[in-house]
Amino acid sequence: MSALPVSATLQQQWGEVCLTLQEALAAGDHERFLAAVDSLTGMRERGLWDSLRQLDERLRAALDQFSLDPRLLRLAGQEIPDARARLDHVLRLTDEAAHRTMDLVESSTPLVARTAAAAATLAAECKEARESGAASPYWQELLERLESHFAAAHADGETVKTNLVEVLMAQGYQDLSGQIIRKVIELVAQLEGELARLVQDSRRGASENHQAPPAAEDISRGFGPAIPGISVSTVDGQQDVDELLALGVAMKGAS
Amino acid sequence: MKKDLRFLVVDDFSTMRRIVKNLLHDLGYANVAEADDGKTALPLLQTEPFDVLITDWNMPGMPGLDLLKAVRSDPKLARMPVLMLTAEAKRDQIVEAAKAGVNGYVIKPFTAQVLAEKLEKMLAPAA
Repeated sequence: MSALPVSATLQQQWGEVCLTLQEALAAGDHERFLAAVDSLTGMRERGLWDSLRQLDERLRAALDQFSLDPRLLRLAGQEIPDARARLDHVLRLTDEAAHRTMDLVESSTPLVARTAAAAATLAAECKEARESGAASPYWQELLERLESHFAAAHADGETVKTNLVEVLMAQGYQDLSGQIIRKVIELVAQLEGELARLVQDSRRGASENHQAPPAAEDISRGFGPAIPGISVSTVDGQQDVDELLALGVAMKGAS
Repeated sequence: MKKDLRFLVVDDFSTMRRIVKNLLHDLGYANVAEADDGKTALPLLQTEPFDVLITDWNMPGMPGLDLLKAVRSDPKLARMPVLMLTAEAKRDQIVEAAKAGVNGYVIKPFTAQVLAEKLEKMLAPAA
């Protein structure tokens, strides 16, 4: 069946009612004219309602498909809670590893401190014995080597002590990475809640809108560690902090 | 500096509390207690004779800035030296902490040397 040209379609759809309108107007038939206008309006509204009904049906079908999408259900019901549990586990693991490292640092520091102190004493004693000149050439030479060995052992011990402090300080990464991970856990929990609600809404036909306003950032609660490429208006090192602190103190004094 | 000063270290991460406690021990301060947020720290400060407060900012319960304000508004604690040891790095926050009466602000990650310097500077008038 070939499609009718546009003018023919218009003629078929609206021709009769237009003709009635023209005839009623020409004849001055008020009643018939108004009836034709009513008929025209009715035809127009019917078209609009048909379009709206089709739109509604398509929307419902999309929402049904959405709520039944197994990937989405799995994501909301299992994978996101799993992701939170995994991040929690990472936090626990890093916490345990940091404490284990600090256990070892705390038990090693006194040992190396004791060894370094003993080496320093022995180096001094060897020097004293050597310088007294009482020893035979063989012992003189041996004392010199021992003195040099103990002096080196003392210096090495001091270096190890300094390094152990650095190892201790490096455990601070657990705090910094932990704060960032906690933020991500919060975000994932919010996402999980939103997804669950979306699935629920789609089942109900999205009749209600529960969307809560996003929480405002609060300077008092803090923002967490600065992240390169993400954080804005952050300080650049301790020097910067010291200057701002002085500025804040001056502002406080002036107010 | 007086080595018998009593410190309260407040941080929600036990690793950081332990690091600070170790550093204080290295500096000769053996009297160090811990709390994991402002809510648990404040009653301790009000009932026990602490001399110095070292606090994180971002903590669940009561954050460090609120703890600082509570300390400054308590007549018994108002003059206590308070050092903030935090990863909070926004410029406005540091100015805000200064206005709230913080005595020192050390940004994480920090070095043992920076902590020692800031403590020495902060505690110099008390020595």
